[in-house]
Amino acid sequence: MAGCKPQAAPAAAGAAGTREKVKFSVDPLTRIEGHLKMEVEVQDSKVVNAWSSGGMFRGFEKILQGRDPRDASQLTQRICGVCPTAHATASVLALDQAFGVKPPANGRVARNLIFGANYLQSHLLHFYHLAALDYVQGPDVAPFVPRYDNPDLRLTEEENSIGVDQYLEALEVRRICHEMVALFGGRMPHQQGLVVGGVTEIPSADKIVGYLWRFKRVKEFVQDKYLPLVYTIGKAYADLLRTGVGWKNCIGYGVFPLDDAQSKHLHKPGVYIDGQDYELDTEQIKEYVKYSWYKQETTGLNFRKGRTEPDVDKSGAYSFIKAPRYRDKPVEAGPLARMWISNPELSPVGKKKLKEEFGLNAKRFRDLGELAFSIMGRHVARAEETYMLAERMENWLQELEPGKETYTQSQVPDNAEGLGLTEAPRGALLHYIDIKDRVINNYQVVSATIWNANPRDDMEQRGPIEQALINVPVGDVNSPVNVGRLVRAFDP
Amino acid sequence: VSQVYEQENIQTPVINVAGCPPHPDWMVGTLAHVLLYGLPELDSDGRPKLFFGRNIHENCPYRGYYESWTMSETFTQKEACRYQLGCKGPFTNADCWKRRWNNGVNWCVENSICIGCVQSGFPDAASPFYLAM
Repeated sequence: MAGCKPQAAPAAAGAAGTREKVKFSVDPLTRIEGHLKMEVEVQDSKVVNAWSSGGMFRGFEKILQGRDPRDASQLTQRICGVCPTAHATASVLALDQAFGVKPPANGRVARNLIFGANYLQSHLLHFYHLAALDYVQGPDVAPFVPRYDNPDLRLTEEENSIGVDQYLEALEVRRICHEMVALFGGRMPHQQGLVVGGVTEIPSADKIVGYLWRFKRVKEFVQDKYLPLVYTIGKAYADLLRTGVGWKNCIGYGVFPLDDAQSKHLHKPGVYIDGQDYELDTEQIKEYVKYSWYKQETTGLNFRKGRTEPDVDKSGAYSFIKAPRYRDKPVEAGPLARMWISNPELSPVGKKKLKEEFGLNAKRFRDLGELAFSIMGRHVARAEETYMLAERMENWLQELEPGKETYTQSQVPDNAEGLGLTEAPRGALLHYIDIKDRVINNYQVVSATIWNANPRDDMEQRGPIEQALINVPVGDVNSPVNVGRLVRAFDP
Repeated sequence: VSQVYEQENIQTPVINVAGCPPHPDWMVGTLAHVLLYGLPELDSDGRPKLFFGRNIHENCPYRGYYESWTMSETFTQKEACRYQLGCKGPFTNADCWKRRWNNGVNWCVENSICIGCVQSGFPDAASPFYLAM
């Protein structure tokens, strides 16, 4: 819950502005999707070094070996209870390629609407139920307490009360999003409906209408409440628009195909490194393990050759997360990366607020400039993306045709490879399948949090979250609230 | 958990609310039952019979198609039984057929097939999911 105490904070280190280096860990870092420990070194009230550690070995790649390839889209959903839809989507895209099949138009649109509903749910969950407690002061009851002694909560009483009302309303809106997923996907979590070749249920007019009225309620909430509240918080915490820069490198795989060849996407694929835009080339992805609990001989491999061989006694290692690099550079994934790469037009609310509150004449996302690469910039990116997606989902609902086929039949191939590239709500997600003799020979997952929360690589470069923590202000080491804010902004 | 309790001679009864994931009604319903009426009656896997007492296939709305052996050949062919697509309904005990999911908007067999996620041994015992047993 809110505000876990730093574990190893030395007793003498409470004073602000100490010149001595103080090292402590926040473990577990709460209010995130998974399990993370952050170790930071603070000097002169700023983070000067950081280590991100994932303490859990999952081993889904091992579980999948030797199975019927079609089982992958069901089993990989179990990686995450928040984004099973993302794993199902990546998995069926990999299977589509391996089986040599593409869904018909109605199946593509139905997939987008299932995944879209999960995006809306996930972004609302992240903002209200995980991140907002770092900014909104609720009443002194759970889940709003416990909190740090110096929680740095700055909203007015009225703003706080709006925030708490929306926190509660968002629970209901998320339930409605789940119903939208289930209408076409069977249930949430863990959809039966997403399979190789398309979607298992042809939407009836009844279910399309059921989706539509729910969607309108969700869209209203996003437009009238979520988006404005993010800018209200952004104004009160304007310094956090200049905090948590990171490497300023982005990766996006593209998501929500807009044509049947799946060549155009709502978010286009791309890479942004050292100020330059590049086309995505998946051959440039390598996973390093010098500081990860995997056998060192498996370092530096492209996922196509990827191996998952744990080595828990490895000296110097501090995480079960491997360190993926693009052209040997650490790159961040997530809404900020997607919005930066796609550079879409901002919402009317966003343009207005940025002008009124921040004096910024911003039309498109990149007009935020330096401010985008920050704690608040990541929240703004997520909220603007939610709005943009909701706008597009309205079109997809019109494209969906009741009674029209959503599925293309195919056979398990004897031997084949498939690559599934998509974007989970929290960032770039890749599934790779290698089929031999009609069963899974190798399966590799490179998920968003692996891109963001990874440890140092063999070249000693910090992972994206580790780097973004550098210079984050920590005035009181017993209340390292900005450490939590920074990490949560990535939605790990 | 039951095995460890037995080994350690711990008398606390164990209730298995099964499912990947369990239906929220099963969780809340089991807790409410314990609070209001005491321990619910359990099946041989320790699951409340209230929720896991009846077989999906025997109560399935598509059961008539099974009797006449009208089988779905593809997922989207709905006026038929899903058994040949790999549906594990015949080997699965749960009330999804009447409770449905997410406020009743859908359920696995209406949408696709059952993969037996409430049965002991899931997922290995139910895999391959898309082959008839």
